[in-house]
Parts: sequence; C-alpha cells; structure tokens
Amino acid sequence: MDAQLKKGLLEICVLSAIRDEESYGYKIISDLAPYIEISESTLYPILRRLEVCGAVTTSTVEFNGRLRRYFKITPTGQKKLEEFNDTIEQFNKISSFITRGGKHDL
Amino acid sequence: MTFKDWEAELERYLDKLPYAERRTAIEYYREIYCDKTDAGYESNKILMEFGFPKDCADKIIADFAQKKNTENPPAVVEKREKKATNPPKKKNGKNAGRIVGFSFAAAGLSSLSALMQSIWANCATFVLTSALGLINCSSVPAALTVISTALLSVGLSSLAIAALFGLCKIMINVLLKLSSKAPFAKEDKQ
Repeated sequence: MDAQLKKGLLEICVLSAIRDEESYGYKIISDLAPYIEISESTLYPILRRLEVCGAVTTSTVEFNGRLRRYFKITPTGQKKLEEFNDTIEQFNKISSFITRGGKHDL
Repeated sequence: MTFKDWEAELERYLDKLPYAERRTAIEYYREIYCDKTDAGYESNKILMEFGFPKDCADKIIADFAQKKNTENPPAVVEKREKKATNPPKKKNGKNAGRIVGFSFAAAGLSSLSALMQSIWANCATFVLTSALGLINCSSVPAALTVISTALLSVGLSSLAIAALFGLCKIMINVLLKLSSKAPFAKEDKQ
C-alpha cells in the first residue's frame, strides 16, 4: 500500500479504535492488527500527531502498579471520522470507475 | 539485550529532543513492553518487534520536526511567498519609476537645450546681419523683425528636434519595459 495513503488510513483506524471507548497503546495495536499492519514504532507518532492536533486527549491511569496512558477521542477527532466517511464515498465511486477500466456506469 | 539496555539506547538517540518529549516516548515503549509481557510475549520477541532503538528514535525525531514545522508555518510560508512574488513586482515598479524619471529628465534636458540653441542662434543672426550690413542697427523695427524671425524659426526647429528626441527616448524605454516584463508573465503562468 502507498505510504501516504497508509499513513492517512492509520490515523482514521486509530480514531475508529477509540471511537466508542478510550483505549491504550497495546490494545489499539491488537485491535487494528487483523485489518492493517501496524507496529509500535508506527503507532507512537500517529498518537502524538492526533494528540497535538486535538483529535485525542490522554489520561494516565494506574494499572497493576504501573502507569498506563489512555487515549480518548475528542469532537475534533469525531469530525475527522465523519469527514473520512464522505471521502470514502467518493473513493468508492473512483474505485468502481477504475475497476470498470475507466468506463462509465451503465 | 534487555529492555533496560534497549530503553537506554533509545534515550541516548533521543538526546536532542526536549525532556518532556523524550519521557513521553520512553514511557510509551515501557508501557507497551509491560503490556506485552503481561500478555505472555517473550522479551526478545517484543524487542525484535520494536526494532532497533535508532530506527524508533529516527521516526520520533522526524515526527517531532514535522510537528515543529506545522506549528510555525505562516511566517515561513509568508516569507517564501513574499520571496517568490515580490521581487518581480518590485523590479517592475523600479523599472517603471526609472522609465518615467528618464523620460522627464530627457524632456527637461531637451527643452533646456532648445532654449540655449535659440538664444545662441538669435545672437549669431543679429551679429551676422549687422556685420553684413543687411540691417541698419539704428533701425530698431528692422532689427526686431530679423531677430523675431530668427528666434521663431530656430526655436521651432529646436523644439521639434527636442520633441523627436524625447519621443524616441520614451519609445525605447517602453520597448525595454515590455521586453523585461515578458519573462515574469511566463513565470506567473508556470
């Protein structure tokens, strides 16, 4: 997959993983692993970027005598997801056009 | 290599980052390492999946640099835009100013030259006609008629030459301006 495309998709995937409930690094990777290849070193910059742009907030919770950082989606993050839904509709049309070999829908 | 070693190496590679950024990154890897250990993964396998500390550090540093750039884009972009757009405009403005200045200077010099020529010609005509005895200096109306005719003819011809000279100068300048403007128009299109 194209690196830029994957980078954009991963951000959306991470936001989707925390859409319904807050989550932490290892769980996010485990949730995404069946769908898209993602490593720890890839996830970290994505989480930092999302945090900086205000799409997620973080909170530190004590777990088993150590600290765990939870990521929660913000309204900005929700908006990003909604925008992606619009994008994916356009993308589907383009994909269908490509699949038909550049011919219009009959 | 133990996780402690891996972590220490990562910290060393992140040396250039601010302390808070460095701590956040190290705590992230430490948390995932603990979570994976709790999930039953072996230390070696976890570190293999993390990759080399340098590679991890490079990604973090690259992202941090990108973040820094996006935090301060307006000044940079504005500066670049100014650099890209202003010089041609300034150059055009300067050229136009120079052209107008030269034109006025040329017109002024031509007028001055015409005036000097007419005075000189008037004096010469008067002296010559007096010397040749064509006019009687005691006859003031006759002398004035000759002087006036000479002044008018020489003055008009001088003014005509001056006007022609000025027009040529303006046309040359306009042509130069047009020829220097063409490349900028091409650049704008690109």
